[in-house]
Amino acid sequence: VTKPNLDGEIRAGRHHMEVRVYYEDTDFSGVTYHASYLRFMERGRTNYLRLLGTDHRDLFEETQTESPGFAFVVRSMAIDFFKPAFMDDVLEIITTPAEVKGASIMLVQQCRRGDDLIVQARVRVAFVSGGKAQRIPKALRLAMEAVHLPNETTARL
Amino acid sequence: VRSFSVPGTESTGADRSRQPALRHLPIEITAFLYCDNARPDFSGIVYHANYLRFMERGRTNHLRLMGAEQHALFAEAQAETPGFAFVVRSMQIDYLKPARMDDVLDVVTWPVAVKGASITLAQEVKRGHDLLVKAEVRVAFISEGRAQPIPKALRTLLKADL
Repeated sequence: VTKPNLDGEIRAGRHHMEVRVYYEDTDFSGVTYHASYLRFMERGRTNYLRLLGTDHRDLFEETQTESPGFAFVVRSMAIDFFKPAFMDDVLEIITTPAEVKGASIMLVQQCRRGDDLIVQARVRVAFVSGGKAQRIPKALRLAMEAVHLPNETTARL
Repeated sequence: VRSFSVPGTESTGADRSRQPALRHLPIEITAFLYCDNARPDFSGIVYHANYLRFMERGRTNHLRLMGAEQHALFAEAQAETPGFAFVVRSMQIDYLKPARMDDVLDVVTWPVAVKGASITLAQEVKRGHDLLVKAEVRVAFISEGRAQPIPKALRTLLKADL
């Protein structure tokens, strides 16, 4: 069961989700601790996958049969911290599949506060099943059809 | 394979390489630093964001040890730019192998580039000879809440380790 206010939503192939910055996410100086963004972004990726599974139930069931207990693991990240976020801020976490390859996916994730870009990351995740890296089943690749990113966004990455 | 620190230096890491450039910080994976994702394939693997916390401890202690060894230069930087700190501007991280519960990890930190207002540090998280995570971290110098040029005393200190 998905809940829009908890899980966010997929619009035009991008996953959007809001998080609020709490005291526990900040460091001693009151700004959001840099590792906290990785937790926000992982929630974004998890919910993106959760919603994909709801929207494309048949494709997901096919994947589940083909690769039982599949998951994605992070292989690499390139992160830019542009501006600080503060306690009580509401951030929008936007997750976009930028490149879907045979065994891995490149996601572009942004943490925004209104028009301000706070953090941007390129995250490469690999598909694993049975404890080993595997090719992504076709059904799942179809569900994730990469969103074409405008040049202006990719140029800065 | 477990690694142990030199007695008396557990809290800040020991420079066991005898090269001033390399700083080692041992970290033991305890229940606090471990995340069971409730997926049978993955239980027992260290959560990816936790390496950022380990690496931050490495950077903090790297700076702490530099301050202890080069007290005069550090005091000069402190006088010139009171309450200075470094903030992370960008990171490139590669996750090569997983760490597990009860592992003892070695966090190695050294500067690779020192510029006017920022420095780039290389960091490695190792288990014995196994390289688990490697990163390049660019940190900017701030004092009184604003980005500032790094005082010459501090730049000299950092450049000595390049």
